[in-house]
Amino acid sequence: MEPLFEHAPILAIAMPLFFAFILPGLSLFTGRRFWGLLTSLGMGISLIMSALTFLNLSLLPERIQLYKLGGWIPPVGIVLEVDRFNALVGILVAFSLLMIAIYSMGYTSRDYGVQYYYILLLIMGAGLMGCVYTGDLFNLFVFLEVATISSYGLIAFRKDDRISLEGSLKYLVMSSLGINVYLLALAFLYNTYGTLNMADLAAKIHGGMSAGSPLSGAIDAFGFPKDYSLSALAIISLAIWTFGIKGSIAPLHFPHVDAAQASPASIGAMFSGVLSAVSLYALMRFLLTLYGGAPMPTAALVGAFLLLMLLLGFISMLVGAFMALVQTDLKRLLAFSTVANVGYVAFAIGLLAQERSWPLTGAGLLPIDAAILHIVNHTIVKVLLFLCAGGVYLLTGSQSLDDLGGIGRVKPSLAAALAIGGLAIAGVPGLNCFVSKWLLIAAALDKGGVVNYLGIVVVVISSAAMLAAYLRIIYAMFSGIPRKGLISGSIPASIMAPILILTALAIILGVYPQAILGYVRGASEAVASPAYWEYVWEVVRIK
Amino acid sequence: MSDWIMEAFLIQYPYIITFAMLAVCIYAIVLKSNLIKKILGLTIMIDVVNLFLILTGYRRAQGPIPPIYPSPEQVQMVVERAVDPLPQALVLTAIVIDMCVTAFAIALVIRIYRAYGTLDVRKIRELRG
Amino acid sequence: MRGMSIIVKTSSRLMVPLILILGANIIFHGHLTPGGGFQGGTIVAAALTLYALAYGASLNLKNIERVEAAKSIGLAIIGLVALAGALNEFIRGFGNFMQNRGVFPLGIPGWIFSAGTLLPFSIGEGLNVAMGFMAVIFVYVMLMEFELKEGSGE
Repeated sequence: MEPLFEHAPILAIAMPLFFAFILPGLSLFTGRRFWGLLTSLGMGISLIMSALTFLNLSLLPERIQLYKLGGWIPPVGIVLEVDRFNALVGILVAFSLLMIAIYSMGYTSRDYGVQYYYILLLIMGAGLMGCVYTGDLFNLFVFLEVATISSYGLIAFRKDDRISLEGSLKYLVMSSLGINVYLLALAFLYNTYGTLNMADLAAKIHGGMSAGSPLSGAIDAFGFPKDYSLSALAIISLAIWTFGIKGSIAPLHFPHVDAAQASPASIGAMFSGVLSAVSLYALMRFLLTLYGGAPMPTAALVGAFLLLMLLLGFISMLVGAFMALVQTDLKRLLAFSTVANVGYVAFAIGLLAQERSWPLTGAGLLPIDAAILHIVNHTIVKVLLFLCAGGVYLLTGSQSLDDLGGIGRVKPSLAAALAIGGLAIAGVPGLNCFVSKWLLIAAALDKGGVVNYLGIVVVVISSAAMLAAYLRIIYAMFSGIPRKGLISGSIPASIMAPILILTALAIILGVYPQAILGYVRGASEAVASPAYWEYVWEVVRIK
Repeated sequence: MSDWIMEAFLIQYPYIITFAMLAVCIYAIVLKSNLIKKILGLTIMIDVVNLFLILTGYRRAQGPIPPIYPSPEQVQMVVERAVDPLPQALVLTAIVIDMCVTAFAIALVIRIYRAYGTLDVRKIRELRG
Repeated sequence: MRGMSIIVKTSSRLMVPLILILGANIIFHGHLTPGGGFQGGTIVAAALTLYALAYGASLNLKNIERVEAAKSIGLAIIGLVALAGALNEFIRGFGNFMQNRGVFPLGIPGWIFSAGTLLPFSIGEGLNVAMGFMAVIFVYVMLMEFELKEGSGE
């Protein structure tokens, strides 16, 4: 059993990918039910492996798990580095992928060419799991590209509906630009530090230790003396640009909103729920793990960037909430609500702007706790909302808010799930996002300062606006008369099952949040504490 | 003044080329209204970033040679004087990715032209609401 | 789809085997010379696409699915070889995913059957890329044909 725990991270990435490799060949002989079951099996194996990793890290005294791909030791080789933050985000992503895979079995029953949908879904799942588990920045780029390119295909899956093509092309141009800007940031990183391994980079940024590579001296590749704070300026700003586009932080949210509207509902769930969680994870790695607590000339710059995150959080919260009020399309409204929620996480990260005493302990970890808990809660609820929106599409044939009437009478379980999801994301007590918003406000009050108090006001205003937006939906569902004839009153069980599971999870995490708070605290210790990185250096002897 | 210009073009040319071309490409992606021009700008931008990445591996100091062993006895010379092969490996991956994105984008543009009848992005605006 | 004229057919019948040999050379010497699976695969794709376009293959969705099925054979080779490194853990007690050093026979440097996993990776990659590029070009030609047929039906 011990080798299975050791190989679990790579199997969580490789098994969906392997199933995606064999599915084109198998699709010639088998039917669509088999493809759906194979996809769910792949995602299920990924969930089991990520759960094994999570258990391994939480119950055993090891705080970090290092997997050397190909047997090469870092920093020469590429490693998968799983600590408690990774493990939590990994199991969240794998669980969401399984829900979306089961949902897709029923949702694509009227489409043709579905084997390509399942292949691309498996590849996107493998790409996102790889983004989460990797410990090397170029590997992050490759897996992010893998996930993104398959998502371009998935948005445009319903080719007959020309909105999907338009959304896919608009998203393609902007997102491809953003990711190649990340490659430029990697070029700067390699130029300055000579390595692309996360632990090695953290070591060099914090202590300037020399390790092996000819680029780790004081002269960079072009023959100039190195200016560490100038390179930090370039790298962090490019990274914020990239992960802002992928994670829909305003004012970079336009591609994401178009993509979420144009795609089928399960793919909208991937975008708004899972891809935004992975982008925020990567942004927290850049800002907090790599550059958090850097020595002095860089630390002022990092503080300025965290203040920029605070500002972007303000803009996202306000833009998301108020644009959500005026939308008439259900999926576009949900996409703007994602923008607002990502704003909460950006605000939580930005609360660390004036922090002077790294490593953080105790109450200093509250902002990161709030950020991680909100990522977890938001992913669960946003996936639930998009799956419900897909159920609405199957019932009424349209996504417009004017056509939502009468669902409360025809299919009360779907309407109840959509109502609970809407109330949850607006922050009603008793459901899960209330806990994370409470934690966020407590962290802001703990930090003090005019800007943070202003932030609390903005959080409250945007929550109120989102509550108004979702109440509009709930009211339309339960009391409106059906405008168009409902297409069919029955929804397959494979669509209701993930919706009910996610609703139950939202309620449980709202009523009993202690179940997850311990793991969240372990994860936030992993993000901001250099004790982890010293452990890694000791394990691989790269000091 | 001429000293600075000479230094700029002989030593700092990677930065100048990259950022000038990035500015032109972002202008093309954002401000041109024809879809084909946008995709051309995207493709050129990706190639420029790859070029910058390769140029970070160019060690000009001692007369660089390719990172291939001419014979097994010359390992020391290759280690000292060869260009850095790591950015070349990164660029190989990035070129493959770029090719996939371009192929998919062109297929999308063909289908959009068939569906909308125009390639002008100002007229393809059905995503609203 | 119609084929092309008799000149194109004859010359492609002469050229295609030579291009295939060049592509296979680059694939099989991936661990010895510059090139490898991806580069050789594109050349093989060019040869096979030339053959298909010159003689006129029928491009419908079923044929493209068959090309994709051939692609999955190449990808399955890569997947199995990569997983064999991890499975080696259960057999010999060590080994990681995609491991080359202790798992596969390394052979003598400079020969074809050397360097462990690199040769199967090159072959699988070459097959994958060749079929992938063929599928992409077939999709483009299918789209163009569809448009020509629709346009001429006015």
